[in-house]
Parts: sequence; structure tokens; C-alpha cells
Amino acid sequence: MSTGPVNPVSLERPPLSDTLRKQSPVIMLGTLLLINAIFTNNFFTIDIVWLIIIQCATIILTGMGQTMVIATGGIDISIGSQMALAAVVCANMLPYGILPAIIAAIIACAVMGLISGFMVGKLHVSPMVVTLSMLLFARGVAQVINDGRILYIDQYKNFEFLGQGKILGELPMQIIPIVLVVALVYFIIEKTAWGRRIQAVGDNPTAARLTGINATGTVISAYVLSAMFAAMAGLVLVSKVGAADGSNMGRLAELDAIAAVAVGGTSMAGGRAKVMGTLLGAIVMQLITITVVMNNIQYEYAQILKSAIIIFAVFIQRESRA
Amino acid sequence: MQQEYLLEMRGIDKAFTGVKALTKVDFSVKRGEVHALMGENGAGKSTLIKVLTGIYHKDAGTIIFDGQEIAPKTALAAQALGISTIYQELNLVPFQTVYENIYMGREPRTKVGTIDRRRMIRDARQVLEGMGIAIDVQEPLRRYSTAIQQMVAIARALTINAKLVVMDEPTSSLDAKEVQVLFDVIRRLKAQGIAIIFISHRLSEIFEICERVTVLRNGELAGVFDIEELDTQTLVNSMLGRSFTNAQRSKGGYAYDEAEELARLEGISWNVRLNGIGVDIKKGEILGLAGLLGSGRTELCNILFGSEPPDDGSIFWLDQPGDIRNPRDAIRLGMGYCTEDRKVEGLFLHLSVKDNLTMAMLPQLTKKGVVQKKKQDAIVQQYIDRLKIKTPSSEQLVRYLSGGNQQKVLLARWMCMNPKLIILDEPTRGIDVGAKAEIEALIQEFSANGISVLMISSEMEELVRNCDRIVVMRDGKKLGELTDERITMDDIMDTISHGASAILLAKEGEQA
Amino acid sequence: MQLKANKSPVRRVWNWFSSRNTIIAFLLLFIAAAIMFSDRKFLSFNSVHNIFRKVAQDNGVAALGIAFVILLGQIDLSVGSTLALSGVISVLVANMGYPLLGAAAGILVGVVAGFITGLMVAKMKISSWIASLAMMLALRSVVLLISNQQPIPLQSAIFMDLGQIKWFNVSIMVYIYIAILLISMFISRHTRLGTGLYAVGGNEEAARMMGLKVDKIKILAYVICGAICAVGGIMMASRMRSAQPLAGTTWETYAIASCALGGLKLTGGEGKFSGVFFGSLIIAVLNTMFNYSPSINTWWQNILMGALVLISVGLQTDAIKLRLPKASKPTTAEESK
Repeated sequence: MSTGPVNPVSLERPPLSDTLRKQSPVIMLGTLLLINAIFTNNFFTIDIVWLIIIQCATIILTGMGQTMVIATGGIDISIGSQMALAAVVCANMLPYGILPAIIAAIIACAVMGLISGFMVGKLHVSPMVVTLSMLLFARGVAQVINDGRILYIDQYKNFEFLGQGKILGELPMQIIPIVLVVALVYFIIEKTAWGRRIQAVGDNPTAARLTGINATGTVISAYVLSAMFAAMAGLVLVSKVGAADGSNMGRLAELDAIAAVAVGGTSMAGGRAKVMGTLLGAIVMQLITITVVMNNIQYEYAQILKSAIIIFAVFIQRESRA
Repeated sequence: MQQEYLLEMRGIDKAFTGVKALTKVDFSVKRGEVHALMGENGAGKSTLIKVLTGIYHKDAGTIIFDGQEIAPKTALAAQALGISTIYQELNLVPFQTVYENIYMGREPRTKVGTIDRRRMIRDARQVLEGMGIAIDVQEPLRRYSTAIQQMVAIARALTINAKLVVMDEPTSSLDAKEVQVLFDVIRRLKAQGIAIIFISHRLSEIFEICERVTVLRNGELAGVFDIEELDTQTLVNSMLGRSFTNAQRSKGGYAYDEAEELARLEGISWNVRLNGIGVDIKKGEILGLAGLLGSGRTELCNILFGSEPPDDGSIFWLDQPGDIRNPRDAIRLGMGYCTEDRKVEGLFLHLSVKDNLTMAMLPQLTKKGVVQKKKQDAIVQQYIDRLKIKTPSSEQLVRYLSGGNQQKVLLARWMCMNPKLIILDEPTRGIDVGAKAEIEALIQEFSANGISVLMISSEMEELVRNCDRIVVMRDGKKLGELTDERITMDDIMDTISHGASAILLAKEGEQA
Repeated sequence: MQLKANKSPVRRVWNWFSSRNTIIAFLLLFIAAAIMFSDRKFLSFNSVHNIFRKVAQDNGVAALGIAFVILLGQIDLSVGSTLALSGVISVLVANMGYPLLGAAAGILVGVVAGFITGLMVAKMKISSWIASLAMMLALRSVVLLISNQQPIPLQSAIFMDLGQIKWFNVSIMVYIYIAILLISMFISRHTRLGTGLYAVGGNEEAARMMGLKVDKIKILAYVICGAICAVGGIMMASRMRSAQPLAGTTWETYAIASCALGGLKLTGGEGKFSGVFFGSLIIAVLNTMFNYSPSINTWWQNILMGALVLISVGLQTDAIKLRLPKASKPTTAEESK
């Protein structure tokens, strides 16, 4: 029957609350810095910056992939397991050389991402269910490969340099993958047709189909890329720690990634990708941990605070989608 | 002493953010009568029904139901008063059994407080048998056809002692046999003194089952008729209105002799909506699809654009069998489609004007996957200027634009593709007068540039003003074609109603 | 006029199969296990009892809890954390010398946790995945804080004995599980809340129009889920003679797997608790098979479980269902009246 009344909005300006919402990651970051300025001793030192870069790396990398997946209207909660899988594959491949090991790890995860993407994009199974199964599946593969043991890789000094080394004096190596991936995702989202399509599919799947967009392919690509970034995060982690633990590596990493995305202003309902927001969100998440640790508060409080922030961020993003 | 009228709505006003949807509408229903509520899209039928059933709240006027003034706040409250609505989208739970659906939320209980299933099953069977329906009430609802599901919804209404049942296009997805089953039920309800408001776009049904008809047009009362005194012509005239003395045609004769064919649909059937219809589109012509709501116009466009696969029939493009399996194929051939519901099917509300405008064109704007910003900006600016799209910048989110400007963005989305055919479904719906004229001018421009236009509009004047040829549709069939001097309001309406009466006559012949 | 649902032989066989495929899968698996491990006396009372105990002690209870939420078309990822928190609280209170109060406190914790998640889902309209994910993290952190990351030994004798009681050689855990199962079946079948769950899960808008208090039903489902998980946590503490801070980690996946295998539609509105029971049994039998086969690496369990959920859920989607014979069109029989 006839559609509802037409709302004659004429060149309406975005409301103020929209602007506030957009700036929420900056506001949160500012608040955290302020709290630290008051309560934390020796906070504003260059070492803290290095620390943040080192510790943030995995959240930023996984968060970038998650941003793309969430922008398509999906979610990927298997990235923690993907990290473990990448770490284990890499550790086992290291005898054949660093580069083959890295490539094998990334390919292994890309295959997992392909499976998830296919189930979501082609078979239209709920992304949560698919990636929850993938969470088990990838973790299982990682455990099987390593037979549940921890594989130490400290004999590969060159590889460990990737996670522990410094370049240009004091700059931690982690800065390289961070810059590369953030630049790449920013480029994809802002500059390429692919990025436009990712947001279009998440915004309005029907309209996307009627505009000739290959929705299935677009969704699959997001999951594959997300898995590949998770693999890189796993590599960063394994090179830093010097050991691959299939059972425990990356556990709950998906939470940090989702939190970073939510805080960064990407709507959980899809259709928007705020790459720089996710970057800020990741830093906020890590800052919470650092603040708590530096003030000798138990780490669990940080976790509780993070969960509250996830709910809060999702809640305020939810309202803007009327 | 009971009043003659079960329901009297007087002087109902309703406006949405300043736009009048209903103006001083009177509407009354007698006890035990089947009353048709008619009107084209935007006439205000659904608004009136929603005011009655508590979904909208009236701005002014009174509603007297069963001798008392009422003002239901929610659908639930209206239900409690005895007004039940059977929606098109059935408000039932498909996985639950028939009897559970009938008693959901009001389950009878045993002495110990558990649900009395035995009683529910017995009672449900009884109610349905009273309607002449014998089905296994313990089967899940989804095992049954839409027709039966509707019966279950009606049964539910009966068990809450409904005095007035509103049926919103109950026959839209039923086949002829199922319609008869429904009509049997309606007659039984009537015999029990229950009044029914019947909304349908099939004229033959109105004449078959209803006693009185109320027609709305542009949110105002256009007439109330007894069915005996009514003929199809009067009804159609009243619905479409003759306020305009034939609209000015903006175009002269189209040279059909030289025209090449662009696309041809043959024997297309889909669902119950399209029944073996054939239409052809010539190069550079503006072809209008006329017909009442529910005649299958939109469905036809969906099939041409590859959005729905036809059950039967074939599509030819430039005399070749068109392999159109999805919209991508259609776009590749050179089609563009502006759908009826812009927000649901067209716009990306969270993206900018620029992105919305160039979404379909992106493959041509990219070099190795990277969008060429300069080229994109140039095109966007070109169309913003050319179509006079009012937006502070091309980066503005499209959802902050007015309806007319949103529509222009969608038009531009296809214009920039240099299409051969643009399909426009209600291109001026919900757009202010100024923008309407601009969009109509654009349609003419397309044609002048050799682009074919396939256009649906419920506003007959719009079709008359713009089209080179008009195909009149009804019930998924083609009733006739109008060209040149025959493109007038009168001719369109005559074709619709004569076609309609022809069908009616044929049906009567069958029954005799 | 008589209208019947289509009951062609093909359709009937398929219906029978699809409504019982969980049981069939279980039986096949069980027979396979019995043959494979005949040397290990798989069919002995002990071995079968072990399988039932596994269901009761491992994730069977959490599966029953989460089933309430899944019927609604929602999810609760915090079942494992709720279970751990309830365990810790009940042990702490029991250790003060009030075992009964301990059990009550544990259940109260579950109820409150469920209530909070329910509020976020029903009132704040946050996706249940996100809301319960946050709850999972928050509750686990609370557990770690309270327990200081160490197991809390149980000192209440009654509590400890509870876990060891056997009636007719069957562990009390099995009885408790069966009791919860029967209560769940009763609620789903014979109360308004039960039909309400199915209605909201099947068509939320319709349920609202039919006058059901949708928000209340949602919150209640989460509360019941929390309470059942709490019982699971107390059972675990009593059996382990301590409250484990990491109890129940990843149980949510196994619980969801049990439900999916048991034929619960993850989009809500369809499925039975008896199915969940058999789903849990399947997982327990698989588990036993893994333990009995030294040649198979136990780590394969995760892979298998992930694949099982994917397949069982994949089978629920329309993409695959479309290829089955259509059930929707009824045949119109001759006029009978």
C-alpha cells in the first residue's frame, strides 16, 4: 500500500548531537590523557609513546580488518583465533625461511576468511554464527598443528627483530605494519571503488544490488582482508613474544578490535567505515590498559571499563541510525 | 435501539510535519456491511485506517464506534474495542501452530495454571469450522498458503469478538479460487453482523462483495456510493479525478515508422502479479505504464531490470534474447532504474551526494581500482549544476537532502552512465511542485537525446503530459495501448474501466 | 470447503526425518561408537552413565539456559562467565558456613547478570551479541578480581558431599540436569511465557500486535538463562570442590553448538528442548570417542565442533532449504460441505 508521509526536509543541517558523536573518540582520548596527566606519574614521556605503539599494534591491525567487515554490516569474532593460527603456521614454517613463513601464515588465514566470507556473503548465514564457528575451527587447526604445545622460536633472531627491534634509533619495528595497514585501509576506504562498495553494501544491500554491485564478492573480500590483517597481527605478536602458543594466543583479541571500531564511530549496523576513528579507538583501548597498569590497579578493572565503553559506544552510535 | 452505523468517523484531519494527509474526511460503516475503501496511492486510505486502528492519532475530528466516542492510542487498544485489522503482511507467527496463533497472548488455562491446549485445539477447530474451513489446527501455520493464513488471522479476530474487521488488500496475493474462499468467509461474517472494511484494487472484487464504496482522493472524500448505483466508469473517474481538463501535452508526435525497437518483453508471468504480458520499448520514446495500484507495473520493471527472474516469458534487447539474470547484466546493457521507494531501494543514506551519484559509474571512474577524484568531482559537479541539485557541497550526506533533490541524485546516477533506457517508477512521488516540473523537463531531455524512458506514474496527468505511448495494465495483463491524440485522461480512464468491465463481464459469463 | 496441508509421501518422509534428525544423528553416532569401542565396553552401564554425566557436568546445563535465549532469536555469550561468577560467589558464601545461602547467592548472581543483559537487549536495543560479549568480558573480569585468579577451595562439607551423592548408582548431577531439562520443557510447552518465547522469536512485531509484553519476555528469558547457568556453576563448584576462576570459558560455543545440532533455529521461534538434550548428547558422545581414541589428537575437537556448528547452521539457511520440496502450497480438496 501507499508509503508513509513524505518528510519534507529541506537542506537540513546535521544535528549537533551528530557532531558530538563524530568527535567521541577524540573526546575519550582527551579525557584519558587528562586523567593520566593528573593521576599518573611520569606519563608524558617518549617511552610511553613507544609503549603504546608496541602494545597497540595488534589492536590496530585487527581493528582495521574489523572496520571493513563491520562496514559491510557484518562482524568477525574469529580474529583472535586467526592470530593464533598465523603465529603457529609461521613458527612451523620458519625453518624454511622468514618470507615463506610469513606468506604461508597470511595465506592460511586468508583461506579461513574466504570460508567465513562465503558463508556470510553467499549463503547468508548470520556473520556472528559463522565467525563463532570459525573461532573454534581456526583455534582447533592452530592447536592441531602445534599439538597443543608452545613452540619457541628464539633461535630465529632475524624474525624476532620484527617484533623486538627498533628502527631509526628508538622507533619500534611495529610502526611499520601499523603505518602500512592503516594507510592501506584508509586508501581502500577513501580512495577506491572497492571501499565505496563495502560501505554501500553495508548501508543498503537492496540499493547496492540494484546499482549493479556484486554484493557477495564485496562481502567476501572484506572477510578475507580482515583475516589477512589478523594474520599480520598474529605475526607481530609471535615475533614479539618469541613463542607460538596455539591454545592461548589472541584470546579475546576480537573484543579489543570490536571495541576499537565501536569507539571509533563506525556504526555496528554497517554502512560507515571510520578508519582514523578506529585508530583512535585502538589507542583509547590501549591507553585504558596502560593507565590502569601504571596506577597499580588490577588489569581486570580495565576489562570491566572496556566492556562498559563498548556498550556505551554502540549505544550512542545506534541512535544516529533512525 | 442500535444505531444504524457501527462506525462513524467525522471530519478527520491528519497532517505529517505540515503536509496534509487527510482533510475533513467523513467515513461511516453500517452494521454487518462490507464497505470498500478505495483510492490511489497517496489518497489517504492507509492513513485513515491507521487513525482508526490507533497506529496514528488524528489531529481533529471524532470517531464514534458502537455508539461511543473512541480515540484508540494503540493497535492493541483498538483491538480491545472490537476493531481488528488483517494486514497484508500477516501479523502471525509462522512457526507456531494454527491454534496457538489464534489464542496467542490469551491462552485459556487449566485449573493448575498451565495452558489448556486441549481446549484451544477444540475451540480453534470450532471457530474455523464456523467459517467453513476444515484444517488441521495442530500444523504449524507456515505449512499453509497465504489464503489459509488469512483465515487464521480472521479466526483470531473473531475470537476477540471483533465487530469490525479491516482487511487491507487481502486478495493481493491470492489466486481466483482462494479469493472465492475468502469471499465465502466474508459472507459468513456478514451474516453474523460483523462489518468489514475491504481494501482492494481489483474493481471486479469490489463489485462482487461490497455493498457500499467510499472513495478518497488526495486526502479528501471523493464520494460515497451504493454499489447498485455505481458503474466502473464513475468509480474510476472518482478515484482518478477529473479536476484537470486534459493536461497539456508537452510533446508532439513520435515518428513510430522509423523507430527501432530497443527492448521487448514477451509473455511475462510472475507470481500471481503478471499474467503473460508483452510490452515493447522503442528507441528514444517515452513509454508510460498506466493502471491502478496492483496492476503489476512495478513488477514488470523489476523483471526487465533483472531484479526478479520471471516465472515464464522472455526478454529481448535490440532483438537479441537478453541474458538478464541480475541488475548488473541490465546495467551493462545500458539500463538504469529509479525505484519507487527511494530510501529503501535507492539511496545510500550514510554516504555523500558524490558517492550516491557515482556509485553505478564507479567502474568507469576508476583506474586500477582507484577512483579518479578529479574526473569524479567534475562529473558530480556537472550533474549538480545541470540538475540544479540543491546541496551545500557534494560531500553532504544524501539523507540531509530534500526528497526532490534526492530524486535528482538518483536520476543523475543513471544519467551519467549514458544509458539507453531509464526506468522510472513514480519519479515525482513526494516531491514538491517546482522539482516535479524540473524532473519532467529532464524526462523530455532524455528522449530528445535518444534515451528511452519507461515510466510509471499514478498521476495520470503526468503520463499524459510526458509520454509518447501509454500501455494500460490491469491484473498483470495489457488492456490496451494509446498513442498520439488518444493520449488523454479520458482515454486512459476509459481503457482502465472498460477493460475492467470487460473482465467483469467475462467473469459473470463464467459464473452464469 | 476443506483445505489440507500437503502431505505427499516425499514430504512426509522428509518432515519425519527433519524433525528427528538430531535423534537419528545421535543414534548413528552412538552405534558407531559402540562398534568402534566394543573392546572398551562402550555399551556398559558405566560408559553410558559417563556420557550422561558429561552432559550434566559439561555444557549441557548451559545449553539449556542459552536455548531460552536462542528461541527468542537472540544470543547470550556470557553463559560461561555467569557460571564462573555464580560458582565463586556461592563458594565464598558457603565457606562462611551457610551452604544454602551460598546456593541462593549463586543463583541470585545469575539472575542479576541475566537481568542486566536482558535490559541492554530489550530496552537499550543493543544487539544481543555485542551486549552479551561485553557481559562475558565484564563478568569474567569480576571473577578474576574476586578470586585473585586462584581457585577458591570449598570448605563446606555439605556442599562437597552434594557432588558425590549417587542414587541408584547415578550421579546426582544427572538428576539435577534432568530436572532442569524437564522444567524447561514444561515452561516451553505449558506456560504463557513458553508460547511467548516462540512468538517473539518467530515474529516479534506480530507478538507485539497480539498484546504480548515483548520486552518482559526477553528480559525473563535472559534471567532464566542466567539462573540455569548459575545452577551449572554451583554444580561445578561442588563437583570440583572449588570455584575455578576460568570455569566455563568457551562453553558458550559448545552450548550454541548443542542448540544448533539440536535443531533450534538460531533466528528464533523454532525448536524443542528435547532437541537440545540430544544435541548435548551428540557432543558428549563425540567427546568420549575422542578420549577413547589415542590415535586422534584431542585438538581436533575444536575443529570438529566449529565445522559441526557451521554445517548445522548452514543447513538452516534458506539458501540450502530452497532445494527441498516445497511445503507451502496446500491442496484444495473437493467441496465437502
